[in-house]
Amino acid sequence: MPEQDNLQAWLDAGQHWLARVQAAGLSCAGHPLLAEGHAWRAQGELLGWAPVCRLLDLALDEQAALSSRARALLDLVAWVATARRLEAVAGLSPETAPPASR
Amino acid sequence: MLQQWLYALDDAAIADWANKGLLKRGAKALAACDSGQWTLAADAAAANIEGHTQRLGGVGFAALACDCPAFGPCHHLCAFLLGLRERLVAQAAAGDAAAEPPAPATPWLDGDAASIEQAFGAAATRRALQWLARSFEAELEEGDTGLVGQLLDPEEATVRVPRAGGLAAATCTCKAASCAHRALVVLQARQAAGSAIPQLPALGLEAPARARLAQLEDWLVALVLQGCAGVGPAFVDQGEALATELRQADLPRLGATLQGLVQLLRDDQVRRGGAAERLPDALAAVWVLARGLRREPMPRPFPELAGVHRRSYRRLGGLLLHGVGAEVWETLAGQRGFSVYFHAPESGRYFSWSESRARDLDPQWQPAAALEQARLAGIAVPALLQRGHRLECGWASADGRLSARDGTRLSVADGVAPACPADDLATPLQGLGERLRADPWQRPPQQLVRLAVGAVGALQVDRALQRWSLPLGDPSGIPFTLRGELAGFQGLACRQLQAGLAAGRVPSEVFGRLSQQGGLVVLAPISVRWAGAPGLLHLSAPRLAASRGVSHA
Ligand SMILES: [Zn+2]
Ligand SMILES: [Zn+2]
Repeated sequence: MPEQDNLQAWLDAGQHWLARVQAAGLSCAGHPLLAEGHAWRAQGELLGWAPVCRLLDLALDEQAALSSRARALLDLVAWVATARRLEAVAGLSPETAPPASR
Repeated sequence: MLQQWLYALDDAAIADWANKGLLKRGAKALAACDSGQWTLAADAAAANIEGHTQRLGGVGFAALACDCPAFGPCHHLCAFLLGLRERLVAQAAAGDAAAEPPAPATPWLDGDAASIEQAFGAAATRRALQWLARSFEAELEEGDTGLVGQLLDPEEATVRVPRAGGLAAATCTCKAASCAHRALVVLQARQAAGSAIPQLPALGLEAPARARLAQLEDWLVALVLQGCAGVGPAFVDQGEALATELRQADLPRLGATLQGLVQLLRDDQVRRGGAAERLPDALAAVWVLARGLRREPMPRPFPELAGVHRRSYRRLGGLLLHGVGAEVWETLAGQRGFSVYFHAPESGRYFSWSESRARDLDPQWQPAAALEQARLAGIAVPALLQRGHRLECGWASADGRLSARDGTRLSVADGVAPACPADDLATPLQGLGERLRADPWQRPPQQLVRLAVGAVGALQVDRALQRWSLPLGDPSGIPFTLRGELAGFQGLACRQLQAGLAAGRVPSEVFGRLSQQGGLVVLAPISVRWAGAPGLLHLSAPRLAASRGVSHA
């Protein structure tokens, strides 16, 4: 299922990006990191995740108050992590579980 | 009323109020003194024992006073009560009308809803109502002398409300002058009888919990803005203190989740590998819970979000139990303990019995040594693990925790243990998937399983993530992975497995806790049976290895 794989890859990329934003701090994130966030957002738009994109817009909006940007980022972290968990559950049936040798 | 209370007063109630030692000394003092000079009127009594003066000004222990230097209960007052009761019993036997026989009264049902607050105070009543609303309940028993309530959670206490004397004469093993335990027992009895009680509070956050939640949000916002690289150790300490305060504000689940995040931040600061990649998940877990608790109405039931679980124990009898594993453990919050696990072949359920202590409060206590010496109903752990036992009488919670309270009785099960196949992995997997789909952030209840082993992979140690794993397959080919941390007791388990595998042994059966982690079926192992070996290996407590174990073949 290519769609499933696309979603999985996009979620993994999001998680990875969020981990780096958390390491650097939202208020100190440099331009390359923010540009990566915008690229991830564009991919999400293509996959049809508009509500998630709005969260990201708010988190990256340099005109908005810092605390509301931080809250939006936390909501985004929660959204991505929850989606990854649900994806993992979807793969957790005896038929689809990967073989032990992998 | 006063005389009725004294007449019906039983030794257990006096011992709860004072203690058994004082009661004994009181009985001795009474035998040695002359009670002929004591006065006993309808509403007061006085005596002189060992040169001190005792007075009773009304019904209940609170109305007692002695002029000796002891603070609170003393043996003089015990002697005083015993002597007064003795006199009333003698009068009744002689047919004296002054001592009326006690009527089978139920003073805990008397009066209106406000009588509880009048007897125990507003604060105790409010606290008891909170407990009742959160489903903390005492086990009630109505006997000849009165109402007895046993409370285990959130605090342990035994309450007695005598038939004679009313609520003022109620005692509690907590020994406070007035307490929420007493209020709870009376509230429960009234509720059960359909009598009026004050309105139960809405299940929600109290002011201190609300304040802590606001602090937590500020802390998380600061963490996100400054980044893990930008915050120092003092900031992390602040998070740790907040985790403790959340637990104290009756939000143990959020406290434990925050503690997990704090631990990752500490790992990250000492550059322990893998911590940074796990941070988003830990952060999300805290944020989802905190947000859920602040939302009205809450998205999930309050006890679930708060982590306050009802743990009422029910009496069980005639349950056949087979020991399947023993474990020594330590939590991030500094609680150390041991658990012994049993399988009940008749129902297929698992039961556990645990003891634990806080490391800070009891640094001398060693869980491994305690496990070796522990006894359940007088039976030592190796014997418990060696053969089947029948629980003649015991108490267990709905989630299978056995209480080791007095009165628990075990006997060695006769005959050969019945053949008992391992669990079928497909069944718990299905349940696990259903629960996670219903609420992906729910901490799934610990699911114990015993699995037969088919394929065996190679044990891998991941230094970066500080954990080890051993891929296995069940006989039908479903893969699962044994996994644990490298540090602590789980690291000890890893070394036990390594040694066995290196010696050419093959696991035939594993017992542990099932979960899913990133799409993998993971078993945190507790015990292993090697093919061809007679006993079980308890991975975190290998010194118990001598136990033969019940045959499950
Ligand atoms: Zn005294
Ligand atoms: Zn009490």
